[in-house]
Amino acid sequence: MHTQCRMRPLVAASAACIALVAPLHAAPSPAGFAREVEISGPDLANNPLSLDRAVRRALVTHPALQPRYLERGIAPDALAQALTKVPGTLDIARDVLGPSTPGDTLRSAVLAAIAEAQSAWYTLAAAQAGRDAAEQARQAALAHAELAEAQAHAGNLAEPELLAARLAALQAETELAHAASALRAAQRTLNSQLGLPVTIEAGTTGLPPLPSRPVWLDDTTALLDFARRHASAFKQALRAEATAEAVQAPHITARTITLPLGHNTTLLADDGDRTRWPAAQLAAHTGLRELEDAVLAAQQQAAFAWRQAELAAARQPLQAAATRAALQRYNGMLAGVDTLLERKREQLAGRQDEVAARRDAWIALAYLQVQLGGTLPAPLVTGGQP
Amino acid sequence: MNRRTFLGSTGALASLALPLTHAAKAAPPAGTTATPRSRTGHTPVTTLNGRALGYRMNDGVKEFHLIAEEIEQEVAPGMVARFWGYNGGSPGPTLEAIEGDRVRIYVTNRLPEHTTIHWHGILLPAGMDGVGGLSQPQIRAGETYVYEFTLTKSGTFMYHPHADEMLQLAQGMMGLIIVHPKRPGERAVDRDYALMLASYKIDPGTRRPDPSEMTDFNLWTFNSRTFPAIQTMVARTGERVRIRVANLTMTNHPIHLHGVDFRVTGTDGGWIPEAGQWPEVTTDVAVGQIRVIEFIANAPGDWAFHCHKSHHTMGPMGHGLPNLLGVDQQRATARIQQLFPGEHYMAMGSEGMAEMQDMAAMGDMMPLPPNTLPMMTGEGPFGAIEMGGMFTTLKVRNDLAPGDYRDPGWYAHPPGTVATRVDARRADGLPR
Ligand SMILES: [Cu+2]
Repeated sequence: MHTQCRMRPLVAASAACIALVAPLHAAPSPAGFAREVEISGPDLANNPLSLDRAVRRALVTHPALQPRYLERGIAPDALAQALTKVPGTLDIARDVLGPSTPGDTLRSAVLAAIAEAQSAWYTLAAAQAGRDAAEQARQAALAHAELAEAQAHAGNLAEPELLAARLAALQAETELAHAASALRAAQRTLNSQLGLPVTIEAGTTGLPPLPSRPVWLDDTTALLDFARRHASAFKQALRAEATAEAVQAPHITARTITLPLGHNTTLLADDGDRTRWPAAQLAAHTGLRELEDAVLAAQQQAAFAWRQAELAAARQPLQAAATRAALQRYNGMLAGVDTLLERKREQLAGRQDEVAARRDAWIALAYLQVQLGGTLPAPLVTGGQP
Repeated sequence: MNRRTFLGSTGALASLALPLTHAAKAAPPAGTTATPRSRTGHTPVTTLNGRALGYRMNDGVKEFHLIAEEIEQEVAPGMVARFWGYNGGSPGPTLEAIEGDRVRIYVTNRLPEHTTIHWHGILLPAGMDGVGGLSQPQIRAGETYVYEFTLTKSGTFMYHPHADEMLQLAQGMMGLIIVHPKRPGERAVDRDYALMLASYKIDPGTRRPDPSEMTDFNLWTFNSRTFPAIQTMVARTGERVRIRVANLTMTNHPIHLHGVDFRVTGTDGGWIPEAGQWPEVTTDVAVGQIRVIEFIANAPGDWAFHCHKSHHTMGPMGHGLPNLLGVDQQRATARIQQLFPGEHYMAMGSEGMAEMQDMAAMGDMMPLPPNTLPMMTGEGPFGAIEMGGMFTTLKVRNDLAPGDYRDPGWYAHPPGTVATRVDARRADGLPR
């Protein structure tokens, strides 16, 4: 971990190392509001951050939530303290939110904030793995280039091949720089989501493996039904619809209307005896329809991302076997070290693809969970075959 | 007797196997004793790793039965190939007969496609020549055909398909025909060895020869075996030895024998008059040719017998590998080893390729692909022989009994007759 320890008078007295990385530009929170939470921030960077710890932290410190806590007189420090009493993995919908009440917007704000924080955590976990793979790919390219240099030195390799090896090594360096940059960006995003000092180089406990594909993921009817029963937005829309329908709409006066259906034709219709235009009902229907559409969009995104992750995972053992076969061939002088390194680089590229696909699947699932009211139809079964 | 009456007399096609009135002269694999000279005075031929085909006499005609079929056979320890051959082997069993014999050869096709047999070098009626479509209909899968002709001259000949020929030869379909002279004692030798040169492309990790390969073969074999699985030839000091070498690969092979000079005494065209023979130690056997060499084994010892194309005395090796001879691989190797944790990556080729034999010996740590052979192999009395492919030995001994074909073990050199290491201090003052 690399931190800049510029002493500030306020924290110099305590001289605790964690204090050295307190925000450099922001004044500390008033005591009794979020000061404890702020002080505890740098501590999080000392150990790999689990998803649960990230979620707990986000619940307390997410920048989108703090103003709302302020409005409602919730002190993040108190919230954090309360959360310590919840054992195991925190379930926001179950342990924190409780039953929804009409007109409650904090609930959806919390769910959105948690999904954002989860997304940032997954992105960082994937970026760590991606940087590691890029570093290994760079090692492979450097080994190849070093062999090429030694071959050229021994009089065994001509300039074009030597240049190709040097270029490949530079390309691998470039890719590593991209991966390292993505890692730093992911750290910055997570720091922001968790209210951590900007200079913290947080690390995660690693991107979890993909659980067995849940059956409900592809059952849109069941998912919509589940959303209607669990998502507060749905409940509110349904209530609005019921209210609108309950209002007895008076008849309106008969009249002739012109429908603009044809260029030269004027169609006449009589809308007498129709009920008055149901504006409230229409709005309720539209609202519901939009919610359903959002559920389906999230479902499709998650199902697709899941499939991509499954396929990327299925390629992993094949690419590992291809590398192993190349090593066997190398052992028998049936293939050169260049082929062996090429297979290794392909395997590493495949690993990067797999990590990215798994990250996307987890993130898509997190956002689907928001659409479903912060909970999933059934718990995920980890450790299954993807 | 035509085919129908023959079938009628023996029953269903499936029971076509001929009863062996004349015991099959199973060739003496190493460790057994061969039969001594036959009544006609000829020494039975020893097909390396092979056998002679049994026959029966029927009204003065020698009846043979060749069955074309798919077989599995070890090329050398560590590798089994799925060949097409005859009667359970590739090459097929050697047909052995006497000049003047009338032979009737039944050919049953148990392959998935049609075939024929061409009797390479034998003078016979055109309709017996075995060229599918030209001289006879193809023998379709499941059918049996019969060939009949008289062997009008002695010599060394071959049999092989003349149907889908490139594929069927590439799959191992071939065999030898040995016709001994009729006159007792004519061209007599004490040991008579025979082998076919066959090449295959069997990708490491596979078993079936690649029929689409035309030039880049990776298995160079004597009788579809490679060193060290090729039978050793033996002779008693002073014996006259004949080696018949037939080539059905797609390239020539300069066949070289250490320890003697020999004469080429015959081809698939017949015997060469003595006036046309000259001393050689290497003779080139071109594609579709046979060369018969003879010599007196007058020097005891273990002598190499091999193709002189050095890549033909080698197991499979990749092409276009990076040239690492003289290359310092230390830095790169340290990096690569970190990329293969839990496995063994070893730099190779900086000092030469002979270390390959040690690598192959570390099969547990440094596994090769399944079902393939190391590039070089073989252990001799002084260490690794570093050979493979078309290589075996001729062991000449003073104390070998006539007719004994058993491998006598390594040669015990008389004192002072083995090259020895010179002390480094003594080497300083050597002429240069
Ligand atoms: Cu050769």
